[in-house]
Amino acid sequence: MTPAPNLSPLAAMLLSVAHAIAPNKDKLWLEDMQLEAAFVPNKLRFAFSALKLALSFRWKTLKHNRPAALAFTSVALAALATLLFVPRLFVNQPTTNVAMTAPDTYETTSEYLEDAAAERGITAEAQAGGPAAEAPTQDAVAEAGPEVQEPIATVSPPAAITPAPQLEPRAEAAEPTDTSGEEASGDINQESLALEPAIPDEATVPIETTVPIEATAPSASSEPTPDAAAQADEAMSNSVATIAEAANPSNEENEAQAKQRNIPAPPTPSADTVVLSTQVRNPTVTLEAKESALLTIYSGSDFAGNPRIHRYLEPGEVLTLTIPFSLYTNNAAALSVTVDGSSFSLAETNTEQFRVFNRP
Amino acid sequence: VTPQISKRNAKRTRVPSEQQLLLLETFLQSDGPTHGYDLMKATDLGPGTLYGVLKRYFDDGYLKRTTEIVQGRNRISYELTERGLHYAKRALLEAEYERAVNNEHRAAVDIVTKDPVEP
Repeated sequence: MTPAPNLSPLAAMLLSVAHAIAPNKDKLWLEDMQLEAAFVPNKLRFAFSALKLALSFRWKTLKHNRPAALAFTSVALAALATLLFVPRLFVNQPTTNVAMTAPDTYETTSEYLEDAAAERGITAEAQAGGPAAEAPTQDAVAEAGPEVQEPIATVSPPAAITPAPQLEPRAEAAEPTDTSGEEASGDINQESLALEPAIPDEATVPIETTVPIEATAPSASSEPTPDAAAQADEAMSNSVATIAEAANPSNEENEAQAKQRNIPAPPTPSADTVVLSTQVRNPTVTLEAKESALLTIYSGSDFAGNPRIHRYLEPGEVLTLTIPFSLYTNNAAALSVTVDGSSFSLAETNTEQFRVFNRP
Repeated sequence: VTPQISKRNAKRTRVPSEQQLLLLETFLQSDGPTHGYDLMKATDLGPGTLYGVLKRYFDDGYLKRTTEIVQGRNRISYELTERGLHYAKRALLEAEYERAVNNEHRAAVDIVTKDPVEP
């Protein structure tokens, strides 16, 4: 029995399957339905009903044969489920992206910086005008001139943003050559921060992290000179290079950036270096800086690979890290460690220290 | 000898459902053979249910199938046989009687409930 010619392929297939499933003595009715399907408007529903009817016919014949009935039912249900769900795979449905959004997180650092600046009421004019200006823009630095000696931008990323290591941009700009301030160096601060790579860090920073950003402004009395302009150009090119390197940092580039910012290269213990070890049961260790200290954190206990954190901690800054990790600091007395509920200072005196925190 | 009624036959001798009665009534009201889609429209039955009932009536000898050529295609139409005609009339009469008795019973119950007779 051939299906009616005006049937859709799916309906024809369903009717054929129903005809094949039905017992021989009941195939007559499936043939009737195949013939009638040509005159029914909703042919797909009709075909599904035919399949259901064929299954019921077959079920009645297998009523007293339980293993066969079970096997047949399993196969039939699998076939039915396939027929029902496979066609849906070919239907283009718009995909819905569910964004994981949290109220206190930002997608990029630049968004946060803009928001933070708006909250604190910092504008370009305010930055340029007063001594409390924290993040001067190019225009601000250019216009401020002698008043701004060493503007420092204090950036406080939220908890969800992990501060990138060794990327505190320091742009030493010379005197501006243009009164419009287009080539001044202050504005690179936010840009370079925005381009800092999101390094996957096991350590999370639960509180504010202060990232100093320095830019040297020209002196008050000096007029723009060709040398100063050249210096400004060089500083600007360095800043642009910093931005480019921050977007795709490598180990060598990070070292170069660290040198530019007067941060020594990440140290590794030599053969005769004493490496202290601390056994930690609780997987998290909290570090609190009482004074400014250079901190280098490596994942693992062998000071190997790229450091996860390599920068100066500001007083009061707290880091929560997950063991195992290796630590170097140039000021051990400045760091207070909280391990398994007890706090202690890494050292009594201001000394360098290599220490490993791992499981017992 | 008392004939043994099998479970399957016992099911078949049960009182027809409302949908089956509607189908029988449609057959009685139709002038001649009726197609499956027309029966679906008249009785509002689904295809699976309709053809299941048709098969049962055909197996019991109440229906006969006729092949027609409609729009160049074969089409099957169904018609009650003599036995089916008797069965349909009897089933409809029994259903009407049942309805009347039930309605009467309900009416009597309603009368007793609304106007209880003092003993």
